[in-house]
Amino acid sequence: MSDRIAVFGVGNVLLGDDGAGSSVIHLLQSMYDFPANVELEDLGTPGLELLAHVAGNDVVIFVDAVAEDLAPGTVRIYERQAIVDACPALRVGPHDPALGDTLLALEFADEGPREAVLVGIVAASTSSGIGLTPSVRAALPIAAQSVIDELSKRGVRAIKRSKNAALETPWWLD
Amino acid sequence: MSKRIVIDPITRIEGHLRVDVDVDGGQVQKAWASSTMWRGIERILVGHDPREAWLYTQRFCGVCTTVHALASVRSVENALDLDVPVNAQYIRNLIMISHALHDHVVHFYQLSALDWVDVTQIPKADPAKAAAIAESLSDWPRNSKEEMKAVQDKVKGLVASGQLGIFAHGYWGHPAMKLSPEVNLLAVSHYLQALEYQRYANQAVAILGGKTPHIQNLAVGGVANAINLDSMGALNLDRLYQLKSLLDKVIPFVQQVYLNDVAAIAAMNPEWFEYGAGVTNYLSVPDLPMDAKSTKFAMPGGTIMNGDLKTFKPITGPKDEYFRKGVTEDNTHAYYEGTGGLHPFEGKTDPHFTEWSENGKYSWVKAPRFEGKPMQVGPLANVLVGYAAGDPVVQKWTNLAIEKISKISGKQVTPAMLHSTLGRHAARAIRTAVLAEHATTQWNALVDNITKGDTKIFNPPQFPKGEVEGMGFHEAPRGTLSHWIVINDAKIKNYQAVVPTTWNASPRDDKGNPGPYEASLLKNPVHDPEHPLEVVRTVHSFDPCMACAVHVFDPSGKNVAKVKVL
Repeated sequence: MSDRIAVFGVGNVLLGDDGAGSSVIHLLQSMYDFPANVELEDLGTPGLELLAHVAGNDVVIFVDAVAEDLAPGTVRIYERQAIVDACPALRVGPHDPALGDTLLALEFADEGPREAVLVGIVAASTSSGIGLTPSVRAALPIAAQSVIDELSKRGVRAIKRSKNAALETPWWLD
Repeated sequence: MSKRIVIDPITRIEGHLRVDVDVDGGQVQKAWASSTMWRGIERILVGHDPREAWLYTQRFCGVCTTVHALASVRSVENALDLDVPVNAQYIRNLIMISHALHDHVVHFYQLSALDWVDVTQIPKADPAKAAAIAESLSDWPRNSKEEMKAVQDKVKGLVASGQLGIFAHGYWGHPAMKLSPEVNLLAVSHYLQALEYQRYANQAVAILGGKTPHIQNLAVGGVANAINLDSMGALNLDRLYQLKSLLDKVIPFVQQVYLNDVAAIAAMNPEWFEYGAGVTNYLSVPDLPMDAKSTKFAMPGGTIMNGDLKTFKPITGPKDEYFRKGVTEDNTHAYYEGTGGLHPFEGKTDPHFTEWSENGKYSWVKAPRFEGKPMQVGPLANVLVGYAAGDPVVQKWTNLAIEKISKISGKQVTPAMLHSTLGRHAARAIRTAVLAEHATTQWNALVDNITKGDTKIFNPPQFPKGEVEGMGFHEAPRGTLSHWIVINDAKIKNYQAVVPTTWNASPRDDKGNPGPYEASLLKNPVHDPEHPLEVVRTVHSFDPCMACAVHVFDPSGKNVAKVKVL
């Protein structure tokens, strides 16, 4: 049986570049057709609700804005250990970023994915407002290609469409 | 000498809860709750089509997507005086209940339980004894000795490896940890089971909402779930039974497991019924509407003042002036222009940032007040209001919970003890059991109505020329949520969301009255300022919903909660 693979965009589309993850998912959905064992979902900022979505997958690829001292729009791949190491020491509310916690909790329950990676896009601004900064917007196809590459490493072929549905723009990128 | 402790979870990324407390003589003497992020997100909505507002508002907060979607469509329906077909009411109610079941279970097991449960004690437990305790509390079938032994082996493996994984950051060995090794084991075995049952609740939301998060089935005037019992593409019998089978798995978990675990933890930490009362004015709005005009509700609403249930005053529905006129927001200590209370229809969100100043402005959260008074919202308010209103379902589960805690602890627990940190946890478990019961009632009501031949799901909205105002409320998992909309010529002119955490995490107001978090921390014990577990317990008991927002991953690990002792 083929692996269950999920590609999850996370972030808040009302907070500028934090919408990068969701935007990449929309781009991928409009550019490619994926095999049935691959699920793509824009999860917003699910906090601990991630548990319900991540469980039961063999491979999870997250796409999220990242805060790094690199040029905005830089796309970087983070491996599982880096995700887990960034886990907050004290969880104050259910909304704190939960990528690491989710992986650890599901590992303890033997329900976690075998592999997890994060395709990170360095954000320029995450203040309140709709729309991405130009450098992050320009990075969307690069991040999308990184997702395709990660899938391809795992034997998944996404089929590129002849016309990419005019890159169907989600409402927050109008 | 007093010591200042600052709990500030975020450095580079803004948007979280910061708590400052002064500790003297082993007790909190003063407290400030603040948010480090501007919440002027509503301003995005101005100028948009009111029918689409819910698509935006459900992005306010990633955990509470459905609740902001619902409050938004209700506000527009209220402005237009638009009826909502009863099928749509029931479908919405079932979504809200399923969401709340999911949310409360996750909050307790994945967020709060580890404030009380010491995982490192588990290797010492006797699995047979743990099973015996569990079996004495309920008929839940997954409490066997074998189950307990399997979980204990898992934890032993973690402890032996020196890598505690998900449990790496607990306050292990803290003197405030009072559970026996067996109850710790029992709680962790249910922590694991909770991961499974919360998923069923989430799937229930998806069956009706299309997907989660970000449900797709709402519309101003109803829902978009076409009902046809014989059609594959519509809400048919097959889907309704799928929904029922998911709910039927979750209901016993919350009623037989969650409620008992809270009772056991409460019984073994009775001193926590004495801490954390804070503001004992309570506000809860009616929810689960049962008619098209939203005048009859399965869950009552109202207010209670000064912790006295006899002061109960009902809120009868969204048109009730008692609620509509009562709410104001004050910016004296918040980073916005202005001072004194403004009604949400006139609400302004113009930032005026200063340094954190304990006597000046110190939070991005406004200070909502009801008839000028701070109010506590959330499950405790919801349960006390339901109890005072004489709601039989609330009374039944409250009495049952109190009986269980009294039986396990051997001490008589009274409803008055619910004004406390543990009371908030107990009330959340009671509310979850109540909602679980309503899940069945609502499902039956929906199926009855459909089988009678009513398949109506939507009334199209019509927008008048000129200005109309509307308010939509919802008793959300964290308490009373209200969206206030002003529409002019079919466009949004003003939009304000008064969210539950704004009520609870509110800063002081123009009269200097603290908000519920701040008041609840006073006199909390603090054994070790470097490890303020007790402060965290009280803050977590409110289920803070602060960072409805930024989710930037910080690979440097700097998004680490800091506890700073000054």
